[in-house]
Amino acid sequence: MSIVELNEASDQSASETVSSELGGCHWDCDTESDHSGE
Amino acid sequence: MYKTLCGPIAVQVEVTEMCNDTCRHCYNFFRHDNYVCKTMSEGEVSIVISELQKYQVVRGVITGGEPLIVPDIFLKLAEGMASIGMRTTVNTNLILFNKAIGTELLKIGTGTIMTSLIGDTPELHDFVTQNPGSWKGTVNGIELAKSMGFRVLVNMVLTKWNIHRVREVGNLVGSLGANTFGATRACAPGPIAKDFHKNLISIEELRESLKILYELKEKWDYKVDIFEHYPWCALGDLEKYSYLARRKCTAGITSCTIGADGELRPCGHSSMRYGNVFSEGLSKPWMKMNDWRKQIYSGSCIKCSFFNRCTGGCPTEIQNSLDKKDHHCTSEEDVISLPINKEEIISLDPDCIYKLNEKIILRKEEFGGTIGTRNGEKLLFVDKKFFETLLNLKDQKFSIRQVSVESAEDLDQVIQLFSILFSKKMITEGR
Repeated sequence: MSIVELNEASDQSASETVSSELGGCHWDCDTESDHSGE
Repeated sequence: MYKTLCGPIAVQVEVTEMCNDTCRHCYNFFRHDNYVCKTMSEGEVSIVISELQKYQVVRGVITGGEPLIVPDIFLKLAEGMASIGMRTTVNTNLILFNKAIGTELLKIGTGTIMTSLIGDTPELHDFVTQNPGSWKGTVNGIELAKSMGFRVLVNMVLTKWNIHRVREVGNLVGSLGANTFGATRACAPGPIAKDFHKNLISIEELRESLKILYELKEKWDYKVDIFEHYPWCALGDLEKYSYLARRKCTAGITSCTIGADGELRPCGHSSMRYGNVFSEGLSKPWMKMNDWRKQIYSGSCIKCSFFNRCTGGCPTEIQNSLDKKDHHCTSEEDVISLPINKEEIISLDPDCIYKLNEKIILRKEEFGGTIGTRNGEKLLFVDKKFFETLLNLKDQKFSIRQVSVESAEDLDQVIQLFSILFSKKMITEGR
């Protein structure tokens, strides 16, 4: 049972990878804000 | 090489290719020459929604062109995306924004808008948009959206035309009460690359813009951001710019763009097409984007020791540049510090009772599964056994010790995994 890396070449910790995986271009990828009201 | 997901996690949907501005820096390949612009029909919007639902896509951006040119179709798309639980934001120049549209958007639950402000004066802004009166329209739109309670993110696209006005635009954005001010470099995508290069900012100007952004952050009550991925060597001081470094190129990996013609593209910058969502669905064209998951467009960046974490520069720009290099990529020696990972993981008590977050998404993948919160802000990719375990825990209360026993997994390992889930709000206390 484990967390897997999306990037197969990655050597970093899983939690670090996935915390930034969604950050792309031209959109709001603010994972620090609480937008639960939306 | 990235693993292949069954579908994207985030999509940009270009509802129309029409725009009332004609920005000189526009990366839309369809915004140049004598192209006849397309708009999605109601039926096509329904297909898009149905496909997004089928693959549990969690986040969306409605963009264009300018979405508000076709308000009925735009609102239908926004409503559809909200109805399937997607967290959706809108990219618009706000010129056509009004109370009626704002009220509808808020009713739907779409409360975040991203817009562009190119200059602090009408002269500069309208010169770049090539649309007289556009500055006034956008500024009025920002004020109205803020007065209605929208979260407004304002981006300044940086070129040689306006690079000397970052501070002034930042101050104007602050006085308008925006939530975020972004100052983002213009890239040089294919169709306009050849004659546009001379208008791109230099690496020195880019670094100065970052410095000014962080000075503005201290002055105004807003966040600062860049709305594109910058190569790590361009950012340089990654400890200072950890927040900005969170943006990577995710094209074809976790995200993609659906054009107004239904064509699936890796991102809005790219004119590469992989199939039509209207006629083939989302999965088939998505599966064809393996070239992006293999990162074959990353040029000389693949030799860099930071490549896996940085993801290199903009692949579309690299493809179109003469030297196969993002023009702001310098050298890994310019990376003087590394990003700070602020995520704190507290080790959980194995005998406490927990439950899965009611809004958790469990999406089956070939390698196991994607676990995400409904708003898509937190994600984990897990192996088959972990995924099956979580599926079985749905609608149940459980202790970590119980999970360890039932799955025959080492208790410390299970504590570690569930502590990560807890830190990402994927599980909560069950009492």
